[in-house]
Amino acid sequence: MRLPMTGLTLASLLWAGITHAAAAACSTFGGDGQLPVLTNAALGQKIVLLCNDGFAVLHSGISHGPLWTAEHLTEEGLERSMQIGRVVRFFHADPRLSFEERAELSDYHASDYDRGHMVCSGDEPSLRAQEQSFALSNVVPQTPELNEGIWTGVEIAVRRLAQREGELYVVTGPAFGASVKTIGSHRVFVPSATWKAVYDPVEDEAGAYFCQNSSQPTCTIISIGALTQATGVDPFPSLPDEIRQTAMTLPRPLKSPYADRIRPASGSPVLENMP
Amino acid sequence: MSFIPFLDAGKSVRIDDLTIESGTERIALYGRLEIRRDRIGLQDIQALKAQIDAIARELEGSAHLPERARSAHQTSVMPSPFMGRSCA
Repeated sequence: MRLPMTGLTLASLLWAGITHAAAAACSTFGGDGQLPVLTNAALGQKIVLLCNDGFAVLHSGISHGPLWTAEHLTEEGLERSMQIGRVVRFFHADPRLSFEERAELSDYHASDYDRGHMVCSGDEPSLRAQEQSFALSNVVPQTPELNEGIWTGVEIAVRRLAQREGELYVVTGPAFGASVKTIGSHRVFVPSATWKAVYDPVEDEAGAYFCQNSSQPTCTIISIGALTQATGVDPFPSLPDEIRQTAMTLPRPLKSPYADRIRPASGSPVLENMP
Repeated sequence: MSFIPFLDAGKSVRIDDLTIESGTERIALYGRLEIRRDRIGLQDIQALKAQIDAIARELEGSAHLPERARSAHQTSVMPSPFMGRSCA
């Protein structure tokens, strides 16, 4: 257990408009028992913390989607998820959110964007948890090239790492640029990038995949410090500086064959290590 | 169990690590699927075949297929409300 920065964390939570009690309800999904915090105050408007069976979501009524999702992957949980096998699921608007603040299926129609999972449904340990991962509160618009390509590779790589290490804390979310594209009548924000941060409690190290949400997506591996700077979200607030500033060696994401085929020959995916 | 192709009711079918999603304009199959010589392998490949047959039937039954369908965009751009506080 690490010494938590209680004062800072509590202050950040309060200013983000979340009650401490609500955060405590799903704090087990966060590294060291602490959920991510927002370091950019502008993100903290119209936010709702949603606790699901297998993960927590901080939802924004401004972007009409998640700002972060947090989960604790364990070997045992992943074993259970694999036994679920073939499933049919439906994406759906999250009924816990108001109509004005949430995204609807219709927002994604005719948009050219995929419904991109933040928490990966295939990692969820029960049918109910998988169903909850199909709520649009766990989804952001991703280009098909990203969602069906290297992002799938990132999800597979993180799952394998969790199986190898026995457990991992994973926080996933969108990053937004200075101007945002929106889709649908609710104006669902299209992120400029999506990221997946990993804290490995066994090795006591952390790092993040940061993937451009473009038609020729590339992913880089960055430190938690760099991620927090870029996104205004601190995925693991309890981590000490030395872990935050050094990106762990994360496995290279697999490119899907589909991604290779649709990408021009010159635009092969780049994966750079930028510790 | 197979979906109605191109009807977007948000349906997503997952077979092993392979995902099949139906939208109004496009159906996407992505991920990976491992078939072994066992019962699960047979079940998985039959499930995939059922989905593919449904898509093929739908396209075969469409009277006027264009060579390449154009996609309709429904997007707008605005300044991010999450930025610019410091440069107000």
